[in-house]
Formats: sequence, C-alpha cells, structure tokens
Amino acid sequence: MSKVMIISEKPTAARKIAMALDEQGSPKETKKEKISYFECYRGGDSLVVVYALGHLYELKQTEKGWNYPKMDMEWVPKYEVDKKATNIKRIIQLISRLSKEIDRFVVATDYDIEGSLIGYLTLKYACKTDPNQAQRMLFSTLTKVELESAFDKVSPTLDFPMIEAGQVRHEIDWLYGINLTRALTLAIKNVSGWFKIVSTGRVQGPSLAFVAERNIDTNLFVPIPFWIINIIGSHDGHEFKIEYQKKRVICKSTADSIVSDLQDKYATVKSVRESIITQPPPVPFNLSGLQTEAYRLFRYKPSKTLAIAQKLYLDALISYPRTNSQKIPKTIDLKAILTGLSSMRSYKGIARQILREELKPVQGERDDPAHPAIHPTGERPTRRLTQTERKLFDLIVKRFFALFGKPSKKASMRVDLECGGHGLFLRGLRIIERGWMEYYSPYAYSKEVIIPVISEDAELQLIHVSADEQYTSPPARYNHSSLLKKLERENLGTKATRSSIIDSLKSRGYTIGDNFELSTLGYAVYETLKQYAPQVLSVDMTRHLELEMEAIQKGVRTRNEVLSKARRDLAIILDDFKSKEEMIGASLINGLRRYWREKEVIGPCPKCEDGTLMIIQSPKTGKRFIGCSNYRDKKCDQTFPLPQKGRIVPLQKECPFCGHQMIKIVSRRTWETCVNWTKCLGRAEDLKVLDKKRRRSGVNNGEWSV
Amino acid sequence: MESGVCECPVCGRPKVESGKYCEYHSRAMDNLKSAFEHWKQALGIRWEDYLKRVQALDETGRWVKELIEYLIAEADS
Repeated sequence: MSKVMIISEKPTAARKIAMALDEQGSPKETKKEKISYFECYRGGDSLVVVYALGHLYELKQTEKGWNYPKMDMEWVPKYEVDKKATNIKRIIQLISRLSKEIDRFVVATDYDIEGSLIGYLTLKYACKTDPNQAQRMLFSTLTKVELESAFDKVSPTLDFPMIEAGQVRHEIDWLYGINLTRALTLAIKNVSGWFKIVSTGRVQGPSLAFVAERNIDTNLFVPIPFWIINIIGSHDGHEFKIEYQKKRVICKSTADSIVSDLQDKYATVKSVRESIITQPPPVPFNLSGLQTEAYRLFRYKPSKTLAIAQKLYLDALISYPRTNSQKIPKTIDLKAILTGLSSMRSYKGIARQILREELKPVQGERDDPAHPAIHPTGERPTRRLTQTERKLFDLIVKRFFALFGKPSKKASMRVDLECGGHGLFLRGLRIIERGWMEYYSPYAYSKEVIIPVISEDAELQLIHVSADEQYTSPPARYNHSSLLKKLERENLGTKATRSSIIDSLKSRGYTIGDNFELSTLGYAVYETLKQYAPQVLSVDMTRHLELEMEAIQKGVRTRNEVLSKARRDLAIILDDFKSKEEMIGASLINGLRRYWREKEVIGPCPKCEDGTLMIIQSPKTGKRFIGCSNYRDKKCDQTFPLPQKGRIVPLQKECPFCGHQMIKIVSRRTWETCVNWTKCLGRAEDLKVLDKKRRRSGVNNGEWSV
Repeated sequence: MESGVCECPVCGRPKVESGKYCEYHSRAMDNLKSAFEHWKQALGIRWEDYLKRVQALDETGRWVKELIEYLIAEADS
C-alpha cells in the first residue's frame, strides 16, 4: 500500500475530490484550527487530500529598500508579503508535515496556468519534493465520474511549459508593477515630500489608456443636429410606421420641405420583397462570452460573473469556467448531462425534447487545449442556490440547450414606396420558426413587426409626417463588458486576470462609477505617462510580452530568454524615467492637487456667497464637517455637520425642503440628504432613524459632528 | 512673471505652446469651430446662438461645455 498526497486548489475542491475517490464515499476529515485535510482509500492506496488557498507563495524582492530598479526576486510564503495571510502559514506547515510520509504526489489543482503553478510551488517549497516525479490529474468538472477517471488515468508528469509560462507571467508582472509604481510614487515624494502610492502595471497601463482615450473623445464631443422624418401610413384601416429613404437629413429647411411634400399625400407601392433569414444557434460559452451575456442580461460585472461561475464549478454544477474554448468535444457525455438536467423540474421538458433528437451541438471557433466550453454537468444543486447563482446557472443551462436547437427562421419584408419623387419604405419582420430561440428563452428575443399584405401599385395614405430634430451622440464610455471585450480583442491579460484589472482601475481611484469616467487622478497618471513614459501605456509592449509567454507555453521560447529580455526593456524605461523624475513628479503633483481639491469641494457657500463649502477635518477631534473656505480669514463662519462614515459626493441639486445643496453619502447604505440635514425640517425622519440606530447599537461614536 | 500666465484660463492646466488654452480646451475649441460649419449649414445659426444651444445639450462633452462657459463669460465682460 502506498501513501499518495493529492494537492487541490481550494477546500471545496479537496472535499469533492476526497468524496469522489474514497471507495466508501466517506473520507475522514481531520480539522485543526480551521485547517483540514481528508484521508481516503482507493485501490489499496491511502490518499491524503490537502488544499492550498489559491497561491501559497508569492514573489518578494531579494534586496532591501523601497526604491527602484529592483530586478531580483524570489518565491516566499505568502504570509511574508501579506501580513493578513495568517491561514497560509498553518496550511504550509500542515502540508510540510504530512508530506514527510508520502510516496507519491499528485497535483489536482485547476488545469490552467495559475493552477499548475500553485501545484508546482507547493510541491517544491512546502513538500520539498522533486516536481519532476509528481503526477497530474486533469479534469474540467468536479463530478465523481470525471474525478475518478482523472485519478485512474493520471498524467505521469506535470505540464512544465505551462508552469514556466505561469512563473514568468508572475515575474514580469512583479517587475513591471513594483518598479513602475515605485518610480511614480517616488517621483512625487522626491519632488514634494508627499507619500501617495500611485500604481501602474503591465496591463493596467494600457487599460487606463483605453479608458482615458475614450473619455477624452467623449469630453471633446460636439453634437451636430440632424432630422429624422417620421411617417405614419394607413392602408386598409391599418396604421404603420414608414421610413424615409435617408436615415438622417442634415439641413432643417430640407427636412421641412420633405414634410410639406409628403403631408397628407398618397405613396405608391413600387416593389414588395420578402427574404428568409436563418440564424444559427449561438456558440457555446467561453468565459468572456458568459461574462458579456451576463452583463447584457443581468448587468453583472465580469468579476462577479467569474466569482459566481467559480462557485457553481466548485459545486460540480458546471464545468471549469476559466476557459477560452467555444467547443464541446465529443468526449463529453452529452446524454448523461441532458438526462441529469431532465431530472430537474425547470429543465425536464426541453432536456427530454433534445434527448429525442440526434445530439450534435453547435461549435464555436475558439479552442482551449485544457478545457471545453462552459457547460452544465447535469448534477442537481445540493444546496439552495442564491438568486444570482440561480440566474447564472439557468443562463448556462439554457445556452447549453440552445446548442442543440435548429436555426431560427425569420421572414424579412421590405416594401418600397414613392411619393412626389421621395423614396420611402416599410419593413416587417415575422418569425417563422423559433428554432434554438425556444430553448434559449427568455434570453433570446426578437421583436416582430407585422405589416399588412400589400400589392404593387397599391396606394398608402401618409396620415402623419413630421421632422424630429436629433443630435449625434458621443462615443459611449466603456462599461465592464465592453472594456473586457476590448482587452480580449487586444490580447491583453488572460481570461482569469482581465476582470480584476478592470476592477483595479476603480479601486485605485482612476475611474469613477460603472461607466468608467476618468477621475482627475486618472487623468494625471495618464497624462504624465503619456508625456514621459508612453511605452507603459502602449499596447504593443504588453502584447509582445503576452505572445512571448504563449511561446513559452508552446515550448518555443524559454523562461530565461523572455525574462532577461523583459528585464533589459524595463531597465531602459526606468533609466529614462529617472532622468525625467522631476518633471514627472511635478506633473503628478499638479494632477493630485486638482484631485484632492475636487474631492474636498462641496459647492458655493450659501452664507457669504463668495466662499466655497469644503470638507474639513477637525485637527482636534479628527471629525469631519463642512466649512466655508473663508473661515480661516474670519470672513464667514458657516459650518454644517457631516455623517462620519461614508464617502461624500456633492450633487448638482437643491433640497426641496430647505433649498440647501444636496449630497450623497456612499457607504454600505447609500443615501441622499442636504448639507443642512440636521436642521432641515424635511429630514427629521432621517435623523430619527439614525438616532434610533445609534441608541440600539449602544455606542455614541459621533455619527454626526460639527 | 504674473501667476496664471502659463495656465489655461478655463481649467488651470498648462497652456499648449503658443496657444491660449490647455491641450484639451484647444482641441475642444477646434471641435467647436469645425462643428459650427455643420450647424450653420443645418440651421443658418449665428456663433453666439450656436454656443448657447450646444451648451444646453446633454450630448455635449464636458470640456466643450467648460470652454463655452468661458467664451460666453468673456464675451459678456
């Protein structure tokens, strides 16, 4: 009997693996200080299933000092870099202790770059064993059948090119992130003495540039007027919308003369054409496809979709979500999945209907050698899913169903008309066969426009004609979904990292709100980098590095080659940066000054009228309040109390009760009030609620204070 | 040197070389001028009325609105 250690990535995955592999289906869980491991038996072997909590090891600089350039780093336990990672120490100690009695090591982390690297580093540093001797379980779902098969047909070696690619990605990201962030931060410190961390990175820089360039276009936009001719026609007692030959008329007098030419006239039908449009089923979901669709339908941010999908995967309800593939390979037991789904009340009907036909799912173009497209496993949820989980699960199941549907058929009709030398037309759309749309309901939607049967030479009365003045629109700001697509199109980051990079733009204070409006700080960083270190914002540099990393994965380049080149390139950027440090610092300081000024300013003072209301921190009590900028010159003593928690956002509106300026307090509960809220008669109810809450919690923590 | 001479009168950012405004407000001015040609063709409108109409539109960019506010105030003074 040999003793085998299986290294998984997360506690839930470890439990699933132990449950699946134990011959009795009841592994022994040993738990100590919130850390556990599982023991089970299979084929005469004793198995110990342990887990990491994501990465157990992180990169740290080898030399001392918070300066740059820093080109050398080493892998150290995560708790040495992140003081909050206290659990990690116990996990490493447990794995180290258990590994002493192990004969064979099997890595069962997620089969992707990060998962492979987690397994490798755990073997090398925690187990202190030779990774060349370890084996690899390969699976895409956490179902019992697949886990058993992955263990029984275990791969004899780790995927070293994937591990090398993962290692070099971390190393390059560390090199660029640490050095460029320090360069920016120290430029400010050396010029002004302020210490404010201003970060950038290999992918964050180009992402900031995309957002900034779109913002600039929006802020510089001047709308141009145009007119749309609206026509309502009538035929056989039916009224319908008719379109004018030109979508937009660019001159008002022309639009007016068109209206006068058509008003109350009859238009003659010149031709009637009908064509059939067939629309094939949508392709299987890869991660970005799922994230885009979840944003379109539910407005879930990509990072939220990934987090929910990860939970569904750990519950063995769906396959591994971090996949690029849009293909469902033949090895997947479609019949078993559909049979499983047919046991669930909501999916019974469609699953059974599909099972009656030949199971040939539509395939997309993108492929991922490690994992298939995201699909349900056919297993029933063993716990009550949250509403968001239910919605995403339903979307994944319905998309899976849609893959087996027939193309949808629609009849498109176009009727061309003529009136006084003007060309007009009517368009109709009728669904003939819903096909896959039936299976993808309610997520597939097509609006039918029914038009009456009209023959050539028939006459239609134009009963209403008007010209609507409209304006051209600015380019849309990015949202989470469109920015994610942009990064994917530009081949920046990976499917696993893109959503967190997008979130980091907001968490760093570079963008505001969900439509990625650039903050003053965002402009300051963008403008400074654009002027003094444009390579950092360049797509070319980071895209080149992505290709190099892919080449490592394919075994075409070595880690050392790529890393040395990245170090050389970075050294050139940093040298250049250093020579311009003073100018860079000054540019950032100007931007920061604007940023802080904007953050503090509420609006004009209602008392003295030439002062500005600002958020002021009392040096004595540390509490914040609103005061007039003329206060220090003893010209105005206007003050207002402020809630002590939450971010204050001034609003461009007045209180309907007292006329003072409105503000928004953004915290766990976002609410609006006026600056005069403690005295405003209309806000008495708010105060009562707050007072009640304060008394209930038994603490007088100065919820408001002057 | 008088303070503010090198600053954009609209926003306080540094002026572009041999220009009156910063990079953004210079570009806003260029856009405003080129769009005026379209507005003139469409409505036969005067510059002053054009500014007021563009300023009132939701679609107008932030920097364009800031510039118009400055131009109107400058014309009034």
